[in-house]
Amino acid sequence: MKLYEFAADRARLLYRIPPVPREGRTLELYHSELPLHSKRDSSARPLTLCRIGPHHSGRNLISENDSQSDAQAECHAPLPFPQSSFDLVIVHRTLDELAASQSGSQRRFEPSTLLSHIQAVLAPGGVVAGCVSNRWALKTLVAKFRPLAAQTHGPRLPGRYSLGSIHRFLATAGLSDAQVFTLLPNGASPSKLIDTDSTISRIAFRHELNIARHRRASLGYFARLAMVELGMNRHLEEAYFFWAFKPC
Amino acid sequence: MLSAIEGVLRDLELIEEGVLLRHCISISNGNTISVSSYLDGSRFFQVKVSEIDAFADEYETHLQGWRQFGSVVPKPIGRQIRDGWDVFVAQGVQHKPFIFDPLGREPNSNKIMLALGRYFMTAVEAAEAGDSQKIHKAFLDQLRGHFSNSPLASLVNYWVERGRALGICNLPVIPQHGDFVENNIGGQGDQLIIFDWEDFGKYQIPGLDVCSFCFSVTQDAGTLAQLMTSLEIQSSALGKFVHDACHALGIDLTLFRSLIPLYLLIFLHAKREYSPTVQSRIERCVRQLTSTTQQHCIPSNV
Repeated sequence: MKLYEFAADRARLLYRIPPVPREGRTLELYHSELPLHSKRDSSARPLTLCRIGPHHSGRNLISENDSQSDAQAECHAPLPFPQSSFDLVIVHRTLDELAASQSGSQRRFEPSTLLSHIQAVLAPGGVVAGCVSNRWALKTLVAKFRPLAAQTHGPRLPGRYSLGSIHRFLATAGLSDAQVFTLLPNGASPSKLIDTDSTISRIAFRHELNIARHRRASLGYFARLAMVELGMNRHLEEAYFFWAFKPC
Repeated sequence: MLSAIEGVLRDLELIEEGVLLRHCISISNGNTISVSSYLDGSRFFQVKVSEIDAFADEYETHLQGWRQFGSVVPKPIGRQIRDGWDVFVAQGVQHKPFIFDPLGREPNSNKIMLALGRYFMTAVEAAEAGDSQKIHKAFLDQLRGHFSNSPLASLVNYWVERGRALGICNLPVIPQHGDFVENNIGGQGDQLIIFDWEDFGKYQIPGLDVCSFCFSVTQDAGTLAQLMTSLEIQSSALGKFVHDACHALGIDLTLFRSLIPLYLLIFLHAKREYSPTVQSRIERCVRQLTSTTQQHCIPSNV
């Protein structure tokens, strides 16, 4: 039995990493497609699934027949749960999806607004955790100059958030003790989390570079080495994983 | 998970309440998670975590390895099951990954290669008393039984018989690391560090670690075939390593060269829980080497 053989299992593992109060009442907010967790997997922690989406031009775009979710919510409004209902709230790529679905609309998606609604339903000491794409990911920046190469890698949600903006929207929402990790290679298929503290990040990426050294051409190696020593990796990889707490 | 790790570190009196740790987390494709938990930029703990009861044996074998090889092995500190997590803590060691230099020009690589020679000499000191014939024969029978229903059965039978004919059962009983590959070797200055001791002592035929090391740095049947059949490769960095390691372990070099495919089959047995990619690579190598052996008509009484 291999617990983490599949990408989805590794993604679910991410949300068992942060310290969560013992009861572990969990809410997953998801937007498109399927939630990361299912009721079948939730034997260890009570799980509530809530589909969240924009309310657009008077039409509710959320299907009334969505059988996955226990509830539905609108991303600009308070969540339909009592205060202090949950110990863990999961937003796995949800912030990216909401931002993408609202881009070009009159009412822009503000992550701090949603997070402040999340904060309200968290118990004191509870955790919100999530995964977002990096606005400044090197792959995205390169793809802008090499559109053909970008096409071969398939569609990807555009990154919306930087390391700084993640800290800001968590703080604006009243959440504290945030921890943010570089997530490798990405949120869909996670394998490594590297703390974005500058010293730790540099140590970890130096090690990654040394492991991969013999697989890189000289020029690529020295370019990567420069990035590592300047501490740039924590700003340039594809995705972040974060969590933060509701103060007690 | 991190609550469990921090709780175990406190119970082991490695950290105090309220200390902020920073973590780097690696999720394998198997059942374990590796966490480097940093107190600061230079001090950290290497923690393995699993949601199943995974580390009882590994802790013991790691401890045995540390007792035998000392500073070459990261010190195992403790193991606990907490909040449903099996947590195994070892000393964190800053190191550079070892990268084998086939041309023998890279000074750090050469230093580590020399240190590996000293490692094998230490390994000989742990040679166990006992009837080596009986122990090795029993293991080879077990190996044959393991592959009896696989497409490799006839190959395994061939090489086990060849090994017996060449006297492999006369070799001393020396506990092997069991996963002695380039990825598990590192350097801290001139100091050799070897990781992943979970399979230590499970295999006792000397030469297995030498062969698995060669396989990991070449991944290529051609180079291994040359090791088996060519004299020219003996002057290369890899050839010298094999010569020095066999000398340190008391293995006849010709015997080792002749039985590389058998060692690879033992390594394949050790890797039976690993990814199919690794297994198929080893299998392909064994088939190609067997074909090479038969082409060169290497006699069984070399």
